[in-house]
Amino acid sequence: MKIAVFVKHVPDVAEADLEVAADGRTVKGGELPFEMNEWDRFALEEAVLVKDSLGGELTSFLIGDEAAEESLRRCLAVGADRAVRVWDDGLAGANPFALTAAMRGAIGEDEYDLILCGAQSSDDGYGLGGPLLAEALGVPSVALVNKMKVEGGKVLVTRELEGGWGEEVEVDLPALVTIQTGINEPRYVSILGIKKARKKPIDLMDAVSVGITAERLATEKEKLSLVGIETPAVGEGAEILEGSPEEVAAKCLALLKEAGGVL
Amino acid sequence: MSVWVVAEHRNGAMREVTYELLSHGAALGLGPVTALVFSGPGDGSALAASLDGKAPRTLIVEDSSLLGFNGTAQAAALATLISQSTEPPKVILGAHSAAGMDWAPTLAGKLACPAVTDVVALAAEGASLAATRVVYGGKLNSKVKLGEGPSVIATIRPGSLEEEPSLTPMTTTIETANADIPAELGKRFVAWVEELAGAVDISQADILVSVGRGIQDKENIDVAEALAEALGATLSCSRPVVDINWLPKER
Amino acid sequence: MSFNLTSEQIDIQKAAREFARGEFTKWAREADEKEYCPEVLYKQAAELGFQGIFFPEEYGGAGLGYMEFCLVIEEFWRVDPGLGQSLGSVVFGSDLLLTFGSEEQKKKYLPPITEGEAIMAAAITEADAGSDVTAVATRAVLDGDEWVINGTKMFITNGNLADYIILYCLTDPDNPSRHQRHSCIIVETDRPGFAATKIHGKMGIRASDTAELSLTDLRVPKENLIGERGEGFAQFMAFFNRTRLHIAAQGIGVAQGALDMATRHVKNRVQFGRPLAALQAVQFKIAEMATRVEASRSLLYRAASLADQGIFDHKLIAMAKWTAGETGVRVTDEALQLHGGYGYLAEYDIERFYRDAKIVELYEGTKEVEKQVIARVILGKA
Ligand SMILES: Cc1cc2nc3c(=O)[nH]c(=O)nc-3n(C[C@H](O)[C@H](O)[C@H](O)COP(=O)(O)OP(=O)(O)OC[C@H]3O[C@@H](n4cnc5c(N)ncnc54)[C@H](O)[C@@H]3O)c2cc1C
Repeated sequence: MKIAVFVKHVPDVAEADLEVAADGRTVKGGELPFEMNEWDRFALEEAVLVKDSLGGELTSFLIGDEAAEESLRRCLAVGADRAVRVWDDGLAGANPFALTAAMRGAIGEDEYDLILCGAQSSDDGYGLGGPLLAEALGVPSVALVNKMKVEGGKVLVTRELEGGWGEEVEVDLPALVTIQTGINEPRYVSILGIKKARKKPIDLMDAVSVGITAERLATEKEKLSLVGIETPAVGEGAEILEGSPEEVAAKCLALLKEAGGVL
Repeated sequence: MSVWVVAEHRNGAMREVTYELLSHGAALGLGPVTALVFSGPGDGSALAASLDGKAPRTLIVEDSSLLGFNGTAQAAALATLISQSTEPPKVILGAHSAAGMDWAPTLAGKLACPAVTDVVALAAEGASLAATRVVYGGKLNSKVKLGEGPSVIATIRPGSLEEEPSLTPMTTTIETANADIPAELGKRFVAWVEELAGAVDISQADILVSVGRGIQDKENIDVAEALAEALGATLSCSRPVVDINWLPKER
Repeated sequence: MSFNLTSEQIDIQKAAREFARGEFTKWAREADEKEYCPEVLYKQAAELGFQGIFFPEEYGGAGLGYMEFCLVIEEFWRVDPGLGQSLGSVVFGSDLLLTFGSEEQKKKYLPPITEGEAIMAAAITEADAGSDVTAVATRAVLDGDEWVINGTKMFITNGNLADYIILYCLTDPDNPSRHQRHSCIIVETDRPGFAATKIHGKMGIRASDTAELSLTDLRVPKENLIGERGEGFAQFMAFFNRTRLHIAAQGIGVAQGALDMATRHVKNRVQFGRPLAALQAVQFKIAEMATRVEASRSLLYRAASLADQGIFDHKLIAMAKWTAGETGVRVTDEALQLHGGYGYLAEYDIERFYRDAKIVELYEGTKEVEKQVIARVILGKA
């Protein structure tokens, strides 16, 4: 099996108060910690599980600057055999179309039996990359998978739907699968893994080596462009209600009734 | 100009979000709305009936590959219909749902056209669309502009309509079309699985009491439960809460 | 001179952080209440390679340095000091074996630790010999090919759990120099004559095991002596130069954890219509706490990276250990203060951190002892 996994390095905003930078288009970086996108961690684990059970080679890909390499090292530390990082200044802040063009270029002539991506990323949450890449490669894709099994040239998956429903789908390999969180339990990185990762190669590619011209980049960027970001309007400061569950609920109910609208 | 709305249905029933999409589509003011129903053979007219009077035109595409849900087949069908139409739709609208996350990006890849997903507000702007999205886990709003097309795709977050969908009653013409879906797509629908008994479709609830990472402790979920009960609301939670098994996934 | 962690160090730090956040949080309160550290954590920590990270590879370690070990301890303590101490102390005593042990001793005793199959301890303190280690009275007498040991030890970390203990014993009471009367002997705890009694009711790091030991006609082979007879004092001074680095990392970890909690709390807690964080008095407090943590951290990282170059700067290490301990105590105190009455409830983790922090000013040399060390280097034997 030749397996590929694509991962993204994103700011971890769970605990952060985000501020919009003066340009009105970017988030003030400063102290924000960056992590591997949560969905990608599950995709990576799934890729390692497939490799462990069926054998083969796992290549991890990332489009990102040098700081983002941390996420690639994580891939190598948990079991990827090699890593490819694509970067070009023109890709800074790129939309999913431009990123996908780079992803497609990074794969080049290589043929993978199975390509895994996270179903979406926690920063802009488009969820476009996976299926777009599949189309660019001419392979079938299936999105939002929360259970999968590779067997006999096929992958049998369950997709997670709304309201507790699922859908079973069978896809012929080569295929691209986008992974929903919770599909597995991503392993912790071990010290031995970190040491092994140091000995594995990280190949660097730029726009030229992935075959994207400036014109191509411009065309892809044109498809979806950012006008600006803003902090959503917030109401007054929060009030923390204390007491037993019943008391808190009662107080909350009273407040909501008073505020009107919902009831 | 026209707007196409991809109807979303499951297990023979039209999903609520379809009416929201029709309402969004009409509000764009980019021409008449066509609802598209993709279904297995023989299932289309019953589904189309549930849209009667809500769109000027409904187009039914039936094919064995469209049984259940198959995003790849649906995207292939849409691509064919668009290439066949004398005047391609300006906008193809869908739901940002499990289905929409599958067919919409696939179609965007096939048409190499602009697309935006998980939109909470959408408006025509110049020769294209401007969309508002919620990013960084709901901490920021972003505004994006789509390229010109000829066609563009947008998927809309269910429940993002400000009001109930209000559609002026109208006469619907129902048509059928053949989309020549390739026999070998490499992807086959197998079955619906009712994964979790007693599941709750939170996208259909009137009031939600929702629990996120900030709940910190499993015990604190009792507070949310008690509140939900008092409000006659549905308890829901974000994914991290599910992933650590504090609440079942159907929430 | 570089002030940046290497990419490998960053990865190790993150790995430790993720493991601790993912696993410790489930257990921390129960471990504190019931005074134990769950078996499964010992197993996981060893499997992930956190035990013996600074042992050379030939003894099953990762061949990394004190700096890396400090990063791990810091992250563990940041999430929970009690569990951090439980897991971090598994190797306690190994530095002495690494530095002074024979090849056979290292081959025999070190690999099981990295595999999660053995726990170590080091026993110096006695009821009447605390800061003054030269007063240690536990007696080891050579009888043919065996040492016969009698005595008691107090406050021994892992006393009930350890498979082998490095015991600081009086072997040469008649030597004219107080510093040449003691020796270090490895004692396997399954030998007859060994007994450990758990000490209950510690104020903090309650997950970590502490015991009183009693040794009655306990016999170990002559070969269990580490290095030369009479070198015990010198060996332990060198040992403390290493372990004080880990202890300093504990102080920084507990302080950082408390700072994290305080930061979160003051942003969320609203009084007088504004979050506490909007008050300048609160802002200053947070700024001071953060500065203390960074200052202590810089001192430790410098001392630890020098140690990894083979330079054990006695004074610098004592400074790092003292400051880190004080930072831990001060920052947890301020953090609790910022929590107001809630900080006084067991339901809030800061209550535990406040109790946990104090130990760093006590063991491995009280803060007074550290200052003595520093002063002696600067002033000589005045
Ligand atoms: C939880 C815990 C775990 C421990 N684990 C271990 C272990 O694993 N192995 C081990 O051997 N020991 C261990 N200890 C013991 C610890 O190292 C001693 O408690 C410490 O060295 C202080 O000794 P003492 O308690 O006898 O205090 P004392 O030496 O009696 O000191 C009391 C006070 O007097 C001060 N003082 C003493 N002498 C001087 C002086 N010359 N100048 C100025 N001030 C002075 C001290 O600083 C202190 O403030 C542990 C202790 C605790 C609490």
